[in-house]
Amino acid sequence: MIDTAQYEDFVRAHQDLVYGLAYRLLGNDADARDASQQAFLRAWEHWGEIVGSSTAAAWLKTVTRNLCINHLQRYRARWRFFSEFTSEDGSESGERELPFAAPDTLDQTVYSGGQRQVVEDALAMLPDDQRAALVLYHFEDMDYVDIARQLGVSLGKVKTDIHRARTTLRKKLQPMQEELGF
Amino acid sequence: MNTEFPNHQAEPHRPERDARDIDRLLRRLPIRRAPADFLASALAAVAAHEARPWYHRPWLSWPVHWQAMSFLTAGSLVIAWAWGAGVGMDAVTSQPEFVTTHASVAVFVSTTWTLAQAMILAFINIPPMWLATFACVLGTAWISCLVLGTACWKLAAAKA
Repeated sequence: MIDTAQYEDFVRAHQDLVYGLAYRLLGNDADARDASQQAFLRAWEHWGEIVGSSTAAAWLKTVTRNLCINHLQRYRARWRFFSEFTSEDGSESGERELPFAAPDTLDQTVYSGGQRQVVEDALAMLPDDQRAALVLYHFEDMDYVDIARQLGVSLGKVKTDIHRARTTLRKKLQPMQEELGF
Repeated sequence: MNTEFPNHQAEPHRPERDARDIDRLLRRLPIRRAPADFLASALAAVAAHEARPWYHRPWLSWPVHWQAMSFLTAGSLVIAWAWGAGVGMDAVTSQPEFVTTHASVAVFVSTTWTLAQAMILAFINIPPMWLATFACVLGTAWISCLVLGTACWKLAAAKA
């Protein structure tokens, strides 16, 4: 028998993590809510395995990520796949993986509410395939090969999508460049 | 100091600079908070999930009598279909014109059908003791896998 109070605490403790990741990957509230609810339903179904486990948060994060990617793949027909026709090695962008500093060594300045909203909106407005690749690379610390495997696309497409996403973000955030400090 | 050439150390290639800037920008982005009503809707979804009728749940969690009945029904349907298909094929392949024009097909079908009949007869004639022994072996293997798997998982979880 599942202790519902304990489960409620679990949802309360992890809801921001799950919803935040789902929103970043899916780019809208309705889909992010659906995916997050599905993730917590999975947690309910596997409660016996994850309750008290130190890896529960990581488990939940993986489930959420997979649910979001499944959702995106289900609607793949709507994806803009023209970038698949670029060269396999992503030579269009001359892209290569860069070693980034670990998050805790970076400037952790918190944006003001307005600035945060602008960045989140810019991210949400990216095409699904570009946003998914960018989020997996910058937030989930996955490398290009893993992203390609996870999204079921070619390595060249991942490189191109990430490059295009960065270019689009930079253009959209250009007016706030000074305020955002990049 | 020579200023004729750009300082590549300070001004890296544009895509690399873009990548670093965007990385820094995104990593500073705080996690988006779940809406205030998310907890209530997640709990409501679980309640609705738990209130599902038995036939919307996985087969393994159906009531035992419904499991047995569905198993018997499905089994009967498969046997009836196999029998009906066999009789139908027999009727078609025994037609003289079929035999003359599709001799090789007729031979293949009749051989397959005979083999299937032989297997059904053999299965029916297996002594109940053998069947019980086979079921015991299968059950023991399944339980062993379950116990070993659980032990391994617990061991891995304890180490983690």
